[in-house]
Amino acid sequence: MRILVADDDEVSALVLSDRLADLGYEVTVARDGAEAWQFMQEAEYRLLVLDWMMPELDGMELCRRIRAGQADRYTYIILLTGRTDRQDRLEALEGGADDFLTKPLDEAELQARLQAAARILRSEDLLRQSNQELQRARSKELEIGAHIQRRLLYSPPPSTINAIRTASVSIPSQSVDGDFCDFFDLGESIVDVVVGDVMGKGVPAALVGAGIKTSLQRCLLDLVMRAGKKDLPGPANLIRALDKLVCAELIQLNTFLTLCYARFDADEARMRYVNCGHPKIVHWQANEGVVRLLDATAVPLGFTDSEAYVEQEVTLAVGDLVLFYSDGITDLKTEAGGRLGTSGFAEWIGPRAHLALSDLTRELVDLQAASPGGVAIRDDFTCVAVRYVGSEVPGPDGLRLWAHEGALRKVRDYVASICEPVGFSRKQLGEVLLAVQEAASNAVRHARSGHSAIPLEIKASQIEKGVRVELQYPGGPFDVDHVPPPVLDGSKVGGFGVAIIRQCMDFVDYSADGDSNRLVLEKRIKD
Amino acid sequence: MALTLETTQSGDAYVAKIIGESLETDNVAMFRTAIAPVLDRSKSIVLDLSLVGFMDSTGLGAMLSCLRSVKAKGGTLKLTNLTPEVRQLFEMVLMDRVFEIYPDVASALS
Repeated sequence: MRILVADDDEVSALVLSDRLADLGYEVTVARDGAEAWQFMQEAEYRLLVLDWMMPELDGMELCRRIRAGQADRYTYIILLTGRTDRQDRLEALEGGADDFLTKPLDEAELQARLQAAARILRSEDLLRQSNQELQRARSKELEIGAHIQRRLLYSPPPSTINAIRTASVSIPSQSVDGDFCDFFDLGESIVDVVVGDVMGKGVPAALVGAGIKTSLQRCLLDLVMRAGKKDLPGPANLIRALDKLVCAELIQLNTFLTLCYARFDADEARMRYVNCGHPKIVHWQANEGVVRLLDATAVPLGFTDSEAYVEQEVTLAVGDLVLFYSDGITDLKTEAGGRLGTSGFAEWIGPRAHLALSDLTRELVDLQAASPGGVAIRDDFTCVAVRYVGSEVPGPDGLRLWAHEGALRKVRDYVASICEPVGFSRKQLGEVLLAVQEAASNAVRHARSGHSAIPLEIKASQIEKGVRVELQYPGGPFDVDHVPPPVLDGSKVGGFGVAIIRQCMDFVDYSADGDSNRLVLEKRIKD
Repeated sequence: MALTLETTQSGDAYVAKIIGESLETDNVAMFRTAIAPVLDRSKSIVLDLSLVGFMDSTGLGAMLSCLRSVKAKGGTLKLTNLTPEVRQLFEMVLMDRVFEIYPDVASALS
């Protein structure tokens, strides 16, 4: 053990230093307080023997300085003094000295006090170790919480359903919360979505959330086994069963939860849902380009055990987007200082609803990151997005698509299939497909300013010795009659679309009815 | 649809074959990114379009951009192996007079 001795009396210092060395200590001697302080900056000393009266910086002052600083480990200070009066001793102890020795030094007393010092320092070491272990245990708990969040509370959306595209964002708060979500793949055209939020914070809320998910899965399994294939339990029945199962426990745990349970049926093009006190569901209608907010249909679970769970139904059109989310979103702080709120979120969604789901989720992550306020304040941030795209398969009424540029191939394939029996030459067929491509990509690009996709209806039908293709889509008017002719000397790279359509087809008619555009193209085999 | 370029050198000329079924609005950006280094490196470029079964006006626009870029450097851009559908498009908007079109790579290189 290293000891620092500070004494301006050289003889005194030497004698003390020898005695300490004999006792097995590694001694460093400073000539005064200032030098002692200097040595302390350069190396760690846990035990100090300081003379009180010294020039430059006396022992008492040095002691105060040491106590004022933030040292990692405790420093035991023994003051040496010739003074014996009570007031001095009190001052020494109050000033931060742990003990003192009077000069001239008594051998036995010196040893005894050093042993006391050693005990104190050992005890301090043990305390420090305990604290470190406690800190490790706390971090471990946070880790477990985050793990629970990732594995148990959050489930990734299914990728197998075609007519319904899903994506989700889940950003847990620092302390993990009670947000959870789950998906049930119930057959070729049905997917169920559940998004919930348990009141409270931390691991307890997270565990209740995980428990609810498991209970819900059990209820679903029970009801499905009893119902047989044709009668899947509806959302209201399912939540009723869940409530029966968990309500008593929730009340006992003194907690409650909000949730949304929605069933998307691609064949029927509809969504049935129950909203138990959860934030309003956002429904963006692709055709109208408008956001609707769907109210709660029941109270949260755990409030009362005699709730009638009511279900609502919404028709889905191709391109429609539905968003489920937790209050981590509506509680986001805005630049203006307030909170985003439901209508704020609905406004934010409007111009972004056309985005591919992967881009939309990215924007959501950016929205959360841009919100002012510390990381520690934030709630769990959860959002599940569902886009209904329909079967993308042509029917007797034609083809309805959520059309972005990548979907145009499907349009061409559909029109080509209708043209097969017509008997066009290769050249003529090429012209039809080119015209349809130009018309459809014009619609996608220009119908809604800034949007990368629109709902598009295409109906191709055989007419006498030819084909007729009708395109219908919402958005701004585009008058084919008033487009400047293309520049054909190679100096301009755009502007060919309409000229191509006119050249390829025999008949081109464009009309607009309010927010709806209609383009009719016809081509016949020339004899 | 994904689109890539297969480039080979023949003397001073670079021959770039488009590997993709079509050149249209949803993959034109990929084409531009892929052809950019070729445009930087050479003044004599031959494009092989044998696999491109369909092109729309956006794809044509990309072809024109390449042509202008090459001409600005005093170089040449030659198109080869046009499929009937693509040829049809070029003829429709008189681009067959603006571009140098050859039946195959060999004739373009000689």
